[in-house]
Amino acid sequence: MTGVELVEGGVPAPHPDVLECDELRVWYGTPRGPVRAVDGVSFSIGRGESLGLVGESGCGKSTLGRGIVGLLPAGTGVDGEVRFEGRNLVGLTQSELRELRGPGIGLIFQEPMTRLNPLMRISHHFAETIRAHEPSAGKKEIRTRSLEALRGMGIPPTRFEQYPHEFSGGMRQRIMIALVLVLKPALVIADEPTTALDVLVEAQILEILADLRRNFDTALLLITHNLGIIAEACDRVAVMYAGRIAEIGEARTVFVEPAHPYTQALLASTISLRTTELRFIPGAPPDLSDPPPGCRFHPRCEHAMQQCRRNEPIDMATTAGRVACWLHGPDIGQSAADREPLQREEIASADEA
Amino acid sequence: MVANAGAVEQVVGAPRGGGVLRRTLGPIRDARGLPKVLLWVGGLLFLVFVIFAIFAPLVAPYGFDQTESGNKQFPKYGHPSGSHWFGTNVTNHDVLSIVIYGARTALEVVVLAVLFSIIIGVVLGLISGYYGGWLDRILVLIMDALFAFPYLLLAIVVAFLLAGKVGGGVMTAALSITVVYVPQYFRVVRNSVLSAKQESYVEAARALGARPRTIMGRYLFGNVIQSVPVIATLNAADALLTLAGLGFLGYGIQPGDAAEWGYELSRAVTDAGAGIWWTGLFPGLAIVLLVVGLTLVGEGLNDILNPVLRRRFGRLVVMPARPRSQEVAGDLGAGQ
Amino acid sequence: MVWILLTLVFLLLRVAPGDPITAALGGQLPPAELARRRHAGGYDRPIIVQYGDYLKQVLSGNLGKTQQGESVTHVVLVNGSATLELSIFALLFALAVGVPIGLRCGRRRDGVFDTFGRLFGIVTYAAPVFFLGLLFQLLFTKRLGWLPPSGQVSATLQAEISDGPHLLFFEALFKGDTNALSDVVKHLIMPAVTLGLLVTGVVIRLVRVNVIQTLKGDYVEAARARGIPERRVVMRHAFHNALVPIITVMGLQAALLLSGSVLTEETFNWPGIGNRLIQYLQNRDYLAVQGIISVFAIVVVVISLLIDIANAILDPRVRY
Repeated sequence: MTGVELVEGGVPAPHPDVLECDELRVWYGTPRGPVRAVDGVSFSIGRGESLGLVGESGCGKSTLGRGIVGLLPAGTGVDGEVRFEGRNLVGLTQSELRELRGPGIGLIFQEPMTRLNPLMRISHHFAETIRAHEPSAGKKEIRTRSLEALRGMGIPPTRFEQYPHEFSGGMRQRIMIALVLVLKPALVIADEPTTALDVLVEAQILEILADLRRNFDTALLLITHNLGIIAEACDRVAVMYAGRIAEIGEARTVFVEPAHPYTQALLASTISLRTTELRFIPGAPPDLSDPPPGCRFHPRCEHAMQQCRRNEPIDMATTAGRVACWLHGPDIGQSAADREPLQREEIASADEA
Repeated sequence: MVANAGAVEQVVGAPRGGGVLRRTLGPIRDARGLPKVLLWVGGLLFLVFVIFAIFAPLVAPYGFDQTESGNKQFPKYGHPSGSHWFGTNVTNHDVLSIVIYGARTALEVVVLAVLFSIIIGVVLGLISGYYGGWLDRILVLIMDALFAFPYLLLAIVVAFLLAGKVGGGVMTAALSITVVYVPQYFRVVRNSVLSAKQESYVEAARALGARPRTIMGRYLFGNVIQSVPVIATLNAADALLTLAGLGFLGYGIQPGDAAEWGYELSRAVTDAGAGIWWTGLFPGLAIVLLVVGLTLVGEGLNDILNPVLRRRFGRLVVMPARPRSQEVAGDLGAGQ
Repeated sequence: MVWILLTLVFLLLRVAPGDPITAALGGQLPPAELARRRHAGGYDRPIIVQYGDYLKQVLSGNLGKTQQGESVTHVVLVNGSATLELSIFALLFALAVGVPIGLRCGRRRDGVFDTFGRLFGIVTYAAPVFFLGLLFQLLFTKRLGWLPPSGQVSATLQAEISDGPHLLFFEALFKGDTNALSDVVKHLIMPAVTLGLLVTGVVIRLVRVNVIQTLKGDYVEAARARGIPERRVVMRHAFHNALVPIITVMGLQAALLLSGSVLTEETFNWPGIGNRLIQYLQNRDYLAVQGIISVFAIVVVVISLLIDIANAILDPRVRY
């Protein structure tokens, strides 16, 4: 239990927010210069709350998930603050972070097929995980807790001693989730947990994740490119584009009244039974080592104004939460000239960037 | 509906031969730090010996089998001195000249051997991988057997069989070594071909009616040729050691034909008993330096070209200060 | 596989020299005598029949006789055991030195240790066995006088050893004979270290590359994400999983070890099988050569088999 604050009377009150990101930046070092995968991201997640993080491939959302727990390649630049239960994680040593990974923050990965050591039995995976953080745990206790976690995922105890290759993809993902939950973390970060699985298994996994809040009071950061999943499993949603958060707020409201043009375009391009024509967003996601100036979405935005190309938009409040877009103000400081729409050919040339 | 073989040009997705050079040189230019240093040091060492080899008559003070100069006989076991920097050996030959001419021999043999191995191994590998069937199975069996055999014994046996038949110790040695290394190229090429055969562009080419020769030459070859430079360099290093081993045991090059470092070392073994160190040290060092040079080049190339070992990230990032402060109209408290 | 190798050996040694008698004594005896001996040795029969005979003999353990009349099998056993002793210690040395270095290099890639470790591995592989041996002899025998330059045991002790295969180190150890033990060890050090250094180079490179590769594995990242200590991640997840490819390639290096031991034995006059082989080659005793190389072929195949078994033990996926 880290970052506990004392209240009058000496009774420790848990910090209201499990996670607070403040202007987090994560830049990768490559031969061609830094890649600004995460470039100024701020949000918070409350206890037992679930936040969905959605965006196209390459927008930096996986980096964000890993950056929070410090699983980044050597030389990566990290700036800003990530407060987990009040304690800033940026700048901690690897061994300090190691203690938090597992019992504090759990991470669920995308490809379950390769995330378990093929030469180790499932029971060993559990024993290793528990002993890493509770070295005094006895064999019986480890076994009991492991089996309980697996039972919650629908894996029978008879399969406890088997090897990973004897399980299907869906089951392996459930084993991964059990491995994460056995340590009862306060926050679970799920990075595209169902992308590699078929739809039926996906539904099962989502139900498990949705139950997290109810049964364990665990907060959830669900990272995905699939809007439908977020609608199912999350209280709030953050829309990420090119390393920045375009819009964040209560999920239901954002889906009904999207404030950012990107969110609108994303929603418009989803396919349902009512879809009569395919709609897509023209252009391609920007190169993160050299992002467009001003608002990063302006080359692909149909509402782009002169302003958008020059200045980065300021966060403004909405009914759902907040949005970063010049369309929403503030009125002060924007001249008439600023609000002129961006010419088509300018957009077209930016398209090739 | 008869497909035009020329239409094969249009198959999308296939690697083109010219792109290979670009794909190889590109990462080399991008590489930084240690792999590049290794590459340069190795390249330099290699270059020195190449110069020795090519310009031997100009660089060496005497001939490798010269025993006198201007009416003066060379001493036997002469210590390293002004006129003989590396001293002389039991047969009154100048050790420095032997070392330099030895470079020529070594490179001749190794270049020939590697060339032959590549040609034979690549061709057989391509054919075997593409056609499959019983030909493939037989070839694989033979190659595996050759591969499993202790390389030196194989080389010795072949050297034996060829002794005097192909004329010139250099050719004999080269062919003996070729036999040892053909299986390696065969294997690598065959594996490449097998995996490339599955690719859709090959299937497409076949559907368009391309002849096997075209497919092999245009598509499979480019794919396959990528791994050859690294293997060839490391092979050359190995081949040198095999040559030295052959020379040490007295097979391959005959002393009169050319200078050979391994052979010199075999005689130096008895010299050591008498405390004479220069007859063995210098040829031996030559072997070590040339092999190390080649290996460094090979390993450096491997580090840079091999996707498994390549480093995509790792440069230290220095981040500028935060560009602006957020002005937010609305609260950003918990639960927003 | 064994069959292929044996066939290869048979063919190689029949093709150019012809039959053993002619090749060995071709210029030395009158043709009539040659023909008589050939007939006596059964070398004028059709090649297929000779081939069949050869296979039958090998399978029954009869490898023929050397020119001196010794049973080749006997030679193989006696000298083979000496080579075995040398190889065992060379291998142990290589593993003891090479594995930790390779592991450390793989962990901290491109660090200072990695550079020197790799360079060390490259140089030890590049230096021919006989060159290293020469240097060692110059230093430790000539200059320092600490170690004997050749042989397996001193002449005095040699007399006490009975005929037959021996692993002298272990025998001296079990008997508790410190005198003999120290003598054996003194003779063993240089050859074993020389040969061992050769293999060390290979081991370092092998371990390093495979550890680097396994450290990139998804399950390694997942283990780190669970907060598993780095030490355990490296040993249990990376290294343990790298063992399968490492052992497989090491098995292929058996051929390297055999080749290297031939050279080492020649340098140190170690009474091993390689030494004998060179002798027989020089004497054109093809029957003996054929016998010994046949044994080599079989040994290589046996080692292959052992590797497969080891892999099955290490990797549960292989069993199914």
